[in-house]
Amino acid sequence: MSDVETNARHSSISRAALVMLVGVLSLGTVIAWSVVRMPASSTISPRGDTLPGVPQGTAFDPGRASALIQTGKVVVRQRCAGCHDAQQRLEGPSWQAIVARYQQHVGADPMGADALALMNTAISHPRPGWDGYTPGPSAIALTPDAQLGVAAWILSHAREENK
Amino acid sequence: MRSLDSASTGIAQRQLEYLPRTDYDLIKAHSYAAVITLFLSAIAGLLVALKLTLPELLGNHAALSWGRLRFDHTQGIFFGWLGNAFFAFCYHMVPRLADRPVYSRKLGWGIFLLWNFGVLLPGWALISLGLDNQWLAVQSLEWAEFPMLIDLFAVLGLLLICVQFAGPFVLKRQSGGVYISVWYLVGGAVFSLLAYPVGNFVPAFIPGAQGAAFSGLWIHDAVGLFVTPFVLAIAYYIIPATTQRPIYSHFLSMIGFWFLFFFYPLNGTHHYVYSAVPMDAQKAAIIASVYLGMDVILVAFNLLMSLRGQAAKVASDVPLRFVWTGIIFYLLVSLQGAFQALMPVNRLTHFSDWVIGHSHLAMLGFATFIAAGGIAHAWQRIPHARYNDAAMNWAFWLITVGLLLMFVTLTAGGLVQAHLWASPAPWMDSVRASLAYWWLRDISAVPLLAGFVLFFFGLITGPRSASCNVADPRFHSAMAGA
Repeated sequence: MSDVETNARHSSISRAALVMLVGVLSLGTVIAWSVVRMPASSTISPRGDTLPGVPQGTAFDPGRASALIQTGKVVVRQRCAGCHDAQQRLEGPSWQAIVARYQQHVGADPMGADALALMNTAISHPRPGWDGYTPGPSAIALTPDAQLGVAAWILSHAREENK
Repeated sequence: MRSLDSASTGIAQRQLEYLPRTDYDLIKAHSYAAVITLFLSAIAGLLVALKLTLPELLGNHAALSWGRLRFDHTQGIFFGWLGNAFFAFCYHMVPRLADRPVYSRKLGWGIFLLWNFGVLLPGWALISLGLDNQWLAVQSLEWAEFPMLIDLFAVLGLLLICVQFAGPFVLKRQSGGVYISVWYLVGGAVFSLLAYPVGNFVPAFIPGAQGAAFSGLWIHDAVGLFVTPFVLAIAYYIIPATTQRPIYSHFLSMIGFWFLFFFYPLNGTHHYVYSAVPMDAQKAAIIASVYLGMDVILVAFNLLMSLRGQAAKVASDVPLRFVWTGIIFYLLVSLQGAFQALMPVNRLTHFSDWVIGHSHLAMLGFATFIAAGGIAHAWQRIPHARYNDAAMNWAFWLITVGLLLMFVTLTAGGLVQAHLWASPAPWMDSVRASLAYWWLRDISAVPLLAGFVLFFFGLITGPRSASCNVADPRFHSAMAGA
């Protein structure tokens, strides 16, 4: 196409303009596709969450831990099992998948105070939740002890897998 | 296909044609109101910036608190500066494009009074008073801070704007289609009227995340459906008017227009990436933002290609230089916007000063530069008006330096904040680390305010223009390009 595009009848389109249009839209589509494919799960970033009365970085008393796990086991059956199964995906991800996701953040000691604090926060279903799943209910009315129990119960699975 | 020479001859012949009535006093009134509110709003912005570095400044009075002054700043820029600047240019542009005067001269003064004394000044007053009544209270919604009573007047104003500036094109049939500036002008006026209630009324009646999602739509529609179309109408007008050459591609002009109006309304939810708004809605908004960035590449390509071979003209004609710089900022800020809407970038930069840098590159870089170029261009063509080229030139450089200093420091400071927030460092560490950047940002106010004052001097000093200025092309389809 020539340099003098002054055609008022709009009957011709310069090749440069067409190439720009196709090139730019292709680039946009590639980026848009990567946006569609990108998992939108929230990232796990421990921000120094602490549990009341438990100093950061300490191990948990084994006796108290096993009591917590027992509490958690009951609460999980009553309150969580509707959406979470041990192995299968239901409304929410399986316990196995949850443990796998948190494994690298839990560290060597799944019953450490840091791991419990992390899991204790995760139980309240922080937004946006996991990509491909409906966000879990955020208003879960659990007592602090019951919530910590659930955290301990989930983490006890991580301990099993660490073995 | 006609050659450039014959098109130029055609334009030259048309210059001698009768020019429809232009309401020069309305151009002047809106321009003065625009520049004065630009200065006042910038002062409010400066006070907000200073409060970050000097928290005790101005004490505890509610009207002088950080939040209220920020509202004064943003709404002043939106209604006072940009609104008035756009209307001023429309009074120059519409008669030349429609081949007839604006709808009504009396309506023009009505709009001027309504916009400035029914919306802007009472809005500022009510923000300062902070009343409790739902219709009189400050709305803590971004870009919608004026109380809902004021919003009613603003909607009325936008409706009258449609009548005043879109009306002439309906009343006088345009042979061979209308010029691209008219598309943007009519699109901007109509879509603003439709979008305004979405952000200003809907969130008040729909609580929670849903209301926030609607508010988010308006946050970006204010920029995309009010500011951008009017600004692009000005840019598309001034380039051929100054260079006497047609736009590069009519095809790209149209593509750019329709993509803008197709993608922009979907954009707003990208203000709430990683929020309680459904993830699919967030992703749709991100994808719309990406395509919008691509659209801006096409629009900027079209505008810059229209200026190819015109470097000397851009360097010597200050209004055109304002516009050219604005187009560069438009390209930069839109690509930045598409980039920061992407999830990994948004996770890092959200809430940090990076975003403030982005919004100033958009409103002060893109919009203000082209609106200022529009006022200066129209002013040069008002009979007997003073115009000081040297002052305008100084204004250009001072505003450019101020903007770049502000943008660079806010972006750098924002990245420092973002990285500190991602680390386990205490919050106060990020505040301490920001202080140096905030001081530099405060200093950027000096060239900016000086630039605004000189811009005003550019309009009130200097030699008077000739009594009859016909060196101005009339826009017919010859200007549209291929």
